This record gives sequence, structure tokens and C-alpha cells, in this order.
Amino acid sequence: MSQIDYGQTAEDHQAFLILVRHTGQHLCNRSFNRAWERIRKLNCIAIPGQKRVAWVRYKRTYSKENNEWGDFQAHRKVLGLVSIGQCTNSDQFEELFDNYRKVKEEYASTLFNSRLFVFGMNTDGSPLSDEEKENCNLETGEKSSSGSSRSGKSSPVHSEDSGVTPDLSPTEAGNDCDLTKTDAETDSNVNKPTSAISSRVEQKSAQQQKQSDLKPESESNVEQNDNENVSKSGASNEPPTSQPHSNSTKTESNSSASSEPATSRPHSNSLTKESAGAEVLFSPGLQACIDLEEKVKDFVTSIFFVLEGKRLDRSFERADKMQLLCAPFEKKDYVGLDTDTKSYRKKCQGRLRKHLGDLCLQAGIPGEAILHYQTAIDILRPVNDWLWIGACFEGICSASVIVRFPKSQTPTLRRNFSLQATRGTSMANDTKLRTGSIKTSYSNGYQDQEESPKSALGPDDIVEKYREALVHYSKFKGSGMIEMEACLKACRVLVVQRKYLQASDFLQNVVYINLQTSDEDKINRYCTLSQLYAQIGFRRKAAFFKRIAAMQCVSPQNPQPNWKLCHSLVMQCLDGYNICLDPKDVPTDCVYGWPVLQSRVLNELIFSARRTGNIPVAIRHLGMLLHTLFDILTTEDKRDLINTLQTLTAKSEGTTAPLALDSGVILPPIPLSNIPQVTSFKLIPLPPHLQPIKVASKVVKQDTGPFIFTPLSLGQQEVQSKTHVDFSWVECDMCEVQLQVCNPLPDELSIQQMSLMTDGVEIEAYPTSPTIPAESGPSLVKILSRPRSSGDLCILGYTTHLLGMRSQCRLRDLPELRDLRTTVTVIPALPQITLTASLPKVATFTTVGDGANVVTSGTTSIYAGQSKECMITIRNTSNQPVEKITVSLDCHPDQKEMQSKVFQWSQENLDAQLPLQPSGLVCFTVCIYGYSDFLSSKSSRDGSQSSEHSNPDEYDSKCVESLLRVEYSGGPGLEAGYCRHCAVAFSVDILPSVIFHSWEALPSESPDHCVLAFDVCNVCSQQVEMQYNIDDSFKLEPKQIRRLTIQIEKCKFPDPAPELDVADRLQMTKPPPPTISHYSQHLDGFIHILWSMCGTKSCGKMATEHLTWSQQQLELIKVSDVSWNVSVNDQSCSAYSIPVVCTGKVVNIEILITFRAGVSYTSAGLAVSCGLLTDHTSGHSRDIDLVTVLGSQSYQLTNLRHCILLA
Amino acid sequence: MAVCVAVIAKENYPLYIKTIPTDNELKFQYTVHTSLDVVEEKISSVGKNTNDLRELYLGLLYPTEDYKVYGYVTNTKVKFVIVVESSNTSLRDNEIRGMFRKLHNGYVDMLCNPFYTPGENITSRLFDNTVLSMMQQD
Repeated sequence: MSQIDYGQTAEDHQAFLILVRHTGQHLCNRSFNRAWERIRKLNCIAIPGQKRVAWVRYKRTYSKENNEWGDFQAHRKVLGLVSIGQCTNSDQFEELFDNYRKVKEEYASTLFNSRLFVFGMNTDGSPLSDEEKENCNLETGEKSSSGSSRSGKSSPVHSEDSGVTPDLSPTEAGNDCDLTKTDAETDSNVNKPTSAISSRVEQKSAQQQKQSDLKPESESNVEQNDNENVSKSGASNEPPTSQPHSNSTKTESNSSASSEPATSRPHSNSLTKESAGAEVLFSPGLQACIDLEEKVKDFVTSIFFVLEGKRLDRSFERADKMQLLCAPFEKKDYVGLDTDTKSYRKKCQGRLRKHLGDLCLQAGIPGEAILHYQTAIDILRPVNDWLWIGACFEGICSASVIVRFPKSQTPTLRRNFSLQATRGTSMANDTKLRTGSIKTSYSNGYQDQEESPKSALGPDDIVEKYREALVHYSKFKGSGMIEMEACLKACRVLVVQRKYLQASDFLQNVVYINLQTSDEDKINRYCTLSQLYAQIGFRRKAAFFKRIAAMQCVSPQNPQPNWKLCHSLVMQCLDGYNICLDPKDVPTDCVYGWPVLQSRVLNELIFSARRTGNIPVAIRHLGMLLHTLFDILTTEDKRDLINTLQTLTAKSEGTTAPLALDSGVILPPIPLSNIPQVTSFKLIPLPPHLQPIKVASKVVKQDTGPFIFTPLSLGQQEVQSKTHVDFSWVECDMCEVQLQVCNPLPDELSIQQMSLMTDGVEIEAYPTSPTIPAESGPSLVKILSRPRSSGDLCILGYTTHLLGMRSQCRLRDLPELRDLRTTVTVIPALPQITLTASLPKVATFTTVGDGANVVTSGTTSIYAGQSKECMITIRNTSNQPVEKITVSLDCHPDQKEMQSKVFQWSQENLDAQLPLQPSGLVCFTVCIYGYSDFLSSKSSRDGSQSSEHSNPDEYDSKCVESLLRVEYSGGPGLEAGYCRHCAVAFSVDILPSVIFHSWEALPSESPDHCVLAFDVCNVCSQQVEMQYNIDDSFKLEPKQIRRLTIQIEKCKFPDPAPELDVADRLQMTKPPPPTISHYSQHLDGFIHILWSMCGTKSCGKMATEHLTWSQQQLELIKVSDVSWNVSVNDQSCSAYSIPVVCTGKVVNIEILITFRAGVSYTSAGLAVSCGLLTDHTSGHSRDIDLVTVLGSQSYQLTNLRHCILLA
Repeated sequence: MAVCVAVIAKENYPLYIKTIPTDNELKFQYTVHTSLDVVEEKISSVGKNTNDLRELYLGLLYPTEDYKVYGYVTNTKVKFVIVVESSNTSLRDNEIRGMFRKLHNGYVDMLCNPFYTPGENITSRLFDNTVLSMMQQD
């Protein structure tokens, strides 16, 4: 069965087909491949002495059936054979030559010439010496590492000429493109010997000289080596036809060819080594064989001249010597046919003319070829020889393509283009040229040229003629191969012209051609279709056919399903279905691709991967299916897929490492980010009492900038605020991240492990393993971790381990969580303490200020004036020492003063106990005082009598709530300037005990003293004993009011506090709280009134500082500004000692007035009134008239200093 | 009449696909999907000269052995694809145009629904009925 060459192009019609064979077992694949690489680059060879080039198509295999089509289209004929072999001794050579001969016989009917390259021998054909061998081995040995891999690759499972192979492994394309003709040509562009061409002529002569020198040597050597074959050597004088490699033999070969047309080709018929002569070329090794290229060139040149001879000969063919050329399937039709009819003769004539056209094309004269084809059509049309008319059309098309789109050089050789173009035109020098500018330049290097022979078809006509050819071909059953190849060729031509829609029509046609071929061939066909569809930009079609090819690999009829190939083919079709291997590439804003088909293709991919046994790859594909197409899957599908996943992961756990396929494709890890779906990701700050607080440093940061203020926000801070959370974590403290997760699966999902992915700071992870019920809404998952050092901790995402699959879900890949702030500053370790208060805990607490950091509480109730102690214990529960503890009251500023009286403690005492080592204890006492004003709410402060009897309800208990804040720090955290705050909440009920009902000041008998009288009222429900004046006491029943009087020395009040200056006043926006007059405050120090309750055994002190004294009362209390001493007759006179004087006597009254220091009066009036107390025992009359006052009774004093004596 | 009707979004993903022999739906999915290549090629070839008012009807996209695939592209690049059986010779170009016009009208009516977000899969019953009427054998 003939093989379809899926890689054929229209240009191949002008190429010689040369078979390059690997001969014998001694040549390793690698060496052959290297030789092959070198040979196949020589696909365009300039013919010396001619302005034409020979195009060569090399093949490594070519079926005999295909060769039989050679009469139908000349380019299908194998014209040359190059066998490459290796041997080390003559026996091996024998074997080698035998092999070579067999191949030669096989293609004998078409071969023009052949060569056998033998490595491992000296150039003269003698075996190498051992030393030389070693050198050779070394030489090859060096390359063995690179070579062996190549040789492995270059023996693909498929037919070498298949179009599949390069697709299978894109990376190999470079190495294996020899397998397709198109690739070979593009490659060869690099090495097209244009530069060689120019220098060709000079070289050639030298070359020939050299070869002719070489020839006799080799011949003689062969003779020497193979003495046993001497018997045949009689024929060693080979006919000159067998050496058509030099110009000298050209004419001879021509004559030989003309004498034996068609039946006997002018190739060497010599089948013995001796007769082979110049056909056998020896070389010690491939590396040493520098002139391999030259030899191949000579070989091709020889073929060219044979061909040229045939062409010229054919032109003068006589009509009477005609012979019918047949396509292989036609042969039996013409058996026994009457050859003497007119139509038969016409057919012969037409077909020969067509064949001549083919030869012209191959000989590099496409213009002439077109003319021949056209003549052939004219001849064949009347006899309805449709198949050959089709072939003529195709020939015209090929020739037109060659003329219109001559192959240009690679850009590096661009400057030789003019040379090439000139040659191109000279090729068709028998046709008129039209000069014109190059119209369009195609990206693939083709030039759409105006300058072309008139006979060549225009681009549109080419398509039209191809179509016509196809119509004719399709009339015959046996021409399926030709039709299909023509379709592909037409398509390739259209690709160059960028007529994609028309190209697609031709490709569509390929599908309809019904050819019974092997599965392998079908795969090749679909792959070629896919490739061509890809070239015309129909990527969906391309993917479709790629998939079809993949299915063909494993079709149920196929006895040996090739799952590996199937998988790799399906992999190649992913692009057409918009399936990205990396989920990051999938745009998230809309549906990407065709979900139904995507899911189908992915399922096939999973299945084929499973069948190949590559479980990790299957898992990866399954992950991708779940990740990208989860929404369109039905519940049933989901369940199935999850089950499959579980069975697969039971064998091999899904990893997070990228997987590389044999083809070099990398499968990136697929995070299962939608199972479970995380809807929120939140970093949780530490509880308030553990939050680190920056200690406000005294040193204000010096701004180094020249500006006092700039509106420009300097970038760095901005960035930080965008990614950083506004709180910090502390080293060695448990930190928490909370996730809201949803389970979209129809079954319960148990996550084996869930932890954080972090960067920056090492953390100790505490993974969780939550279980989420089926299809449940968001449920909370907490992930704990403990930073091990300080710095910026960046949380990148989370990792899960579920259903046997590990995934790393990065937040930046999750669109809804992308913009979260996930960088948190971890500050150095801080100690941690617990507080316990000795008081019972508060049941309810209305928070005062920032109450969030309260760790414990205490409550008590005390009577006004009473004091109580509360012991607070601090325990260090961390590993860090507590080096600093500061206790303060946290309350509203208005209440600060009052609360500071209620709660008192000793900071010094506390400081003395520091530092507190880990797990150490510290206690301190807080003294709670029942602070009260001891006034009823109704009683005015000025001391006036409240007439009404107070209602006991008015004396409400007062509740004082306060936070005792403990600020502590230590260890590295303290050095970094951080501390922690925690607080004890106190709730103190101050119950009313005794209140002042009213109060007054009374003059005492002594001018130095005064008497203060208080009406105290018992407002509690128990009997109260009042104690005052050290030993005075009385009992007071509830609601009873009693007066107590206290005599105190008149006191000198200190000066009032200085007035606040203006600045302070401005600061005090609020009216100052009711201040306690400094008089009361001072007086409070002199008054000691204690109460004690018999029932509760509690006692307290009444404070009088809230009492207000009126001016008059103050006058009484105050030490008066003026003091006087009255002496009567030098006898001091006071209330207790009244001097006795006799009536009628002049009494000298001396009054000494003393002003207190600091008091100055500008003027004072002094009036003395004298009274007489006659007899305190008998007479009680007081008569002023009885006293006569001598001198002035009143006296005006000005600017008095100290004392004035008054007479 | 038609055996498959598909509406394809601007971004080339299916909005709606209905096939009459439902057992063969996957095949039509492939057919419609691959026809997008031709649609794109046809649009891009016209798009080069902007002066041309592009005709919405693209004509026959490609024939397969059993079916013919026709295409239509609205100005907002929403694609309609109708697949008819090749054996059905009663359907000429004019009939196909008529079907597309009907489909376009139906689509526009459906799009007028304020509760429909463009880009969503089409679930409208009215549109469904329009399509069904084109698919049922007269």
C-alpha cells in the first residue's frame, strides 16, 4: 500500500527524490543521524556551468509502491540512493555492500545513480589501524552523551515520514524536522549554499581534479581487498554510464539513456564491488569526512545531468516509438488493449508530454514545463484522459507556484537575493519577463512577485486549477493518495497567499476523501489537518482534529491502543479549547472558552493520563478540571470526580510541585482554591490586654526633610499602609487567622490539614483539620501560629491537604481576597501577666473608657469615710521577665481627682519588687477609701439650716467604677519600646453613713478659739457611735440628728492658691469642677470626727472639706487681723481676770493693738467705750455716765505700724 | 428545519445551545465550536476596510457531510449559528436569513428583560419558544 506523504508541498514537484539509507548493523543510529543532518541540509545545489539549481528532497524510507507512481509524477521517483554504513574490516564491508546492492536492486527501475558511504576505513578502503580506531572512537565517544539522546529521539514509533512526529514533541522539532519536507526546507534555508554558488565554479574544477585522482586509488584498493571476488572482476570495466558524475561522461550517459528509454535507467548496474568503483566512498569517520557535502553535491550534480539529458532527449521524441506511461492502478486496465487506436496514441503522446513537463520542472525550467503541461492538456482532453489532465493541472499549479513564489533566502543572506532572483528569471529565460516591483512580502519569506512568465498562473488561477485537478482526481478510486496530497499542497499554497477560507475548503475536502488506511496513517492525517488548520488560524478546528487523532490512537478497533500518544495529542489540543495549564492565565471576568467541551476534553485527558499510568499527571488534570470548571459541573459529576480523585490520590498523593511531561510541557501546580472556598481571610489582632502598645518616646523624630510640611505623601509610607494591617503581633504569642470557608461539594468535606503560607518571619504553625458539612455556608476556621522571631510577617496564603491533594492557595490568585492587607509586624517578645484581685468579681460592669483590656475585676461596698484594702497579685506567665510595671487609673478626667482619692496604692512598693522573673509573683495593695462629701443632696453647702427633715431616700449610695490600668513590659519588647496594658475593673459602692445636716461657727469664750457646731445625721440603717474631740462620743440612732461641737483654735489660713494665669485658663475649656475651698480643706485638718458602726464593726472618718463656710463664719474661725491687749493700770485685762479699780480714781487704760504681719490698713478708726462693771457680786448696774473719759474717745489712725499707746 | 441553534457571546462562549435530537448534543457542540473559526475569519477579513457596512448574515460557514452550518454576527459581536441538515433542500438562503432575523428579534426581546445580565446563559422561556418554533418541522 502506498504511503501518503502528508508533508508534501507544491515545490516538491521540482525536487529530486534521493533516498538516504542506513546500511548495515555497524553504524550506530547516532552517527547515521549526524550524517543525515549534514546531508539533508544540501537541498538546493547549484549546478556548475548552468544557471540553474537542483532541488533535492531526501527521504530515509520510501515505499516501493510510492515509487511506482513515479511515471505519473516524476518527483515521486527515487532518483538517487545514498547508503551510509560502517565497517572495520573487509568481511564487514562485504556484508555492507551486499546490503547496499539489495536496496539498489529494489529501486533499480528508477535510480539514476547511487553512492555508498563507508565509515571506519581509510580513504583508500584499507582497514584502520588500532590507533586510528581509538581516535575515531574517542571522537565519537565525546559526542555520545549528546548523540545518544538524539538517536533515541530520532527513532520515533511512527513512520519517519509522518507528519505526526514533530507535533508529538515540539522540542524535538528542531531535531526531527527532517521528517517532514516542509521543515527540512525551512531548515535548509539556513544552509543554502548561495555563497558556495558564487565560488562554485572555481571550486568545482579543483574538486573534480581531486576526485579523479582519488578514483583509481579506491578502485585498486577494492580490488586488492577483495581478491575472492576477482572472478567477477572481468566486468570491472564498468560502462561509462555508471559514472555520470562528471561532465566528461555526460554525453555518454545521455546517449545511453536515449538508447534505452524508460526500461533501463542509466544508473550503474554494476553489482559487484569492483564494478561499483566510484560509487563507494571510504572515510575513517564522519568527523574526518569533511568533503561529505562536496561528494553529495557531486552526486546530485550527476543526477541532474542525467535528468537534463533525458529532458533534452524527450523533446525530440519520435511519435512512432511511443510508449504509454501509466499510473500504478491503471496498468491492469491497459493490458491487452489495442495499441493501434488513435486515442491510444493520443494518450501516449499526451502523457509523454506531461512527463516531459515534469522533467522540465525538475530540471529547473518551470516556464517551459508550463508550456508542456498545457500542450499535454490539449492533447489529452479529446481522449478524456481525466486522471492525467488532473496531473497536468497540478503540474501547472506547481510550476506557477515555483515561478510566482520563488523561495527566497534567509534574511541573513538577503543581499544575495538579487543574485537569486536573476537566476530565477534565467531559469525561465525562454519566457518573456515583465519587470515590476515586489508587491507584497509575506512574513514567511515568500515574495509575491510581479515579474513572472506570462504563462504562469495568477494566484487565483492556481487555486482554480487545483480545484479542477481535484475534480479530475476524484473521478478515480485509485487516486485517493494523489488527491489527498494535492489537497494538502493546494492548502499550503493558499496559506502562503493568506487565503485562509479557501484553504479551509481544501482541508474540508481532505476529510471527504475516503481512503482505507491504517490507524497510524489516520492519526498522521488528522495531525496534518490539525497542523494546517493551525496555520490558517483555525485553532478550534485544529484542536478538534488533534483530539480526533488522539481518539484514533485508542479507538476500540485498535489492537494496540497507544495511550501515551493519545495523552500527548490531547495535551496539544488544549489551546484550541482555551484550556490553560496554569490557572493564573485564565481571565476571571468572563467565561473563557466552551465549558462543555472543556470539561469533555479534560475528562479525556484525565482518562488517558490514567491509562498511561502517570497518576500524578492525572491528578493534576483532575485538579484543573475541578478548579476551572467547577461551576458547570453537575452534582453527579462532582461526586464522580471527587471519588476518582480519592482513588487516584490513594495511589499517589497530589503534590504542589510542577510536573514536567516527556514533551517538555510543564504542568504547574493547581491549587484547589474553590474546595473549600474561602470567602474571607482575616488576621486577628491579639486580645486587647495582650496587644503591644508603643511607648511614646520622648524623643520627637527629627524630620530630616527641608520642609516643615509637605503635601506630598512619600511613597514608602503609602505602600506600607496598603499592605500592613494596623496592629502588630508579638513574637512567641499565639496569633490567629480566621477564615470563612464554604464547602461547595455535595458531601461532607474533611480537610486533613490547613495551615498558613508565610514569608519573612519564621513561624511555628499549628494546622487545623476542620470538617465542613456538605454545601454549607460560611463556617469559621481558625488557623493558629506562633511567630518565632520579630519582623514583618507576610501571609501569602494558606495550604490545604484534602482528598489526598495538597494545594497552596496564594491570596494573590484569589480574586476576592487579592487586596487584603496581610502583612503584619511582629514585634519582639513581651512578657505576659495575669492579674488577680482579692475582691469578689464584678457581675456587671459598665465600661469606663477603654474597658476592653480588663482581665479581672473587684467589687466591694464601703460606707462613706471607710477604708478598705484590696490585694492585687501579678503573676508572670511568660518566659520573659517583667521589668517595668506602672499602675495608673484610667477614668474620665472629670472624675480623676475624686477617683484618685478613692483608690490609692504605692508605686514605690511595686517598683521595689521588680523585675519579676518568669512565673514569679508580685502583690500590691490598693487602698479603697469611701470618699464622700458627707452632705445630703438637698442640703446646701453653705451650712444654712435645711428646714425640712430629709427624706432617707435621698441618701443614695454612690457607685464608683474605675479601671486600674497596669502597664508592663520587659525583655526584648521593652527594648523595642513596647508595652502591654491590662486592667482591673473596680466597682465600689459607697454607702452613706453620717452626714452633716447643718453646721455653724460660734465664738468661743477665748478670743483665740472658736467653736464649730455640726448637726450630724445618721443616714444609715444602724446605730452609729460618733467620736470627736478625742474623748467625746455619743450614739446616734438611724435618722437621728445631733449636734456636736468642737472647739478649735482659731487658725491662720494659708494664702489661697495663686490665680491661674491666662494661658491656663485658655486651656481649661470646661468650667473647672467645683473646687473645694481652701478654707475647708485647711480646716479639715483640725477637725476629727470619727464614726463607727456597732453592727458591722466598721469605722470611718467624716471629712469636712466639702462644707462651705460663710464669710461671717470664717471671720469667727480666723485669727482676727487685729489683736489687742488691754491693760488697766498696768494690769493686764482679759475675760478671765478683770482688774478691780476703785471708784473715782483715774484709771489708766492702756490698749495695745497689734496688727498681724502682712495686713496693712491704710486707716482705722478706733473707738473706745468704757463700761463699768461695778461689782460682780452686788451691783449689777452698768452706767456709762459714771465714767468720765479723759482725752479723746475716738482716734483716727493712719499708717499704723505696730502698736499705739492710748492714754 | 434547523437541527441546532446556538447563541454565542462576544467572548466566544456559549450563551444558549439547543439541539433537536438531544442525544447528539455533544456533536453539535463541537460543530458549533469549530464553526467559530470560520466566523472569526470572516469577520476579520471584512474588518479591514472599516467603511464597509458589514452584513450581519455570514452565509454558509462550512458544509459537513450531513449538515450545513450558517452564521450570523450581530453588531455587538454576538454570534448566532444555525445548523441544518444537508438533505433539507427546501431551505434556501432566503429562508435561512429569515430564521436568523427571527432569532435576532427574539434575542433582542430577551435582552430587553431588565433582569437579564448580558453575558449570562439564556434561560428565557420566550426565547426558547422562538427557537423551538424554528426547529420544529413544519
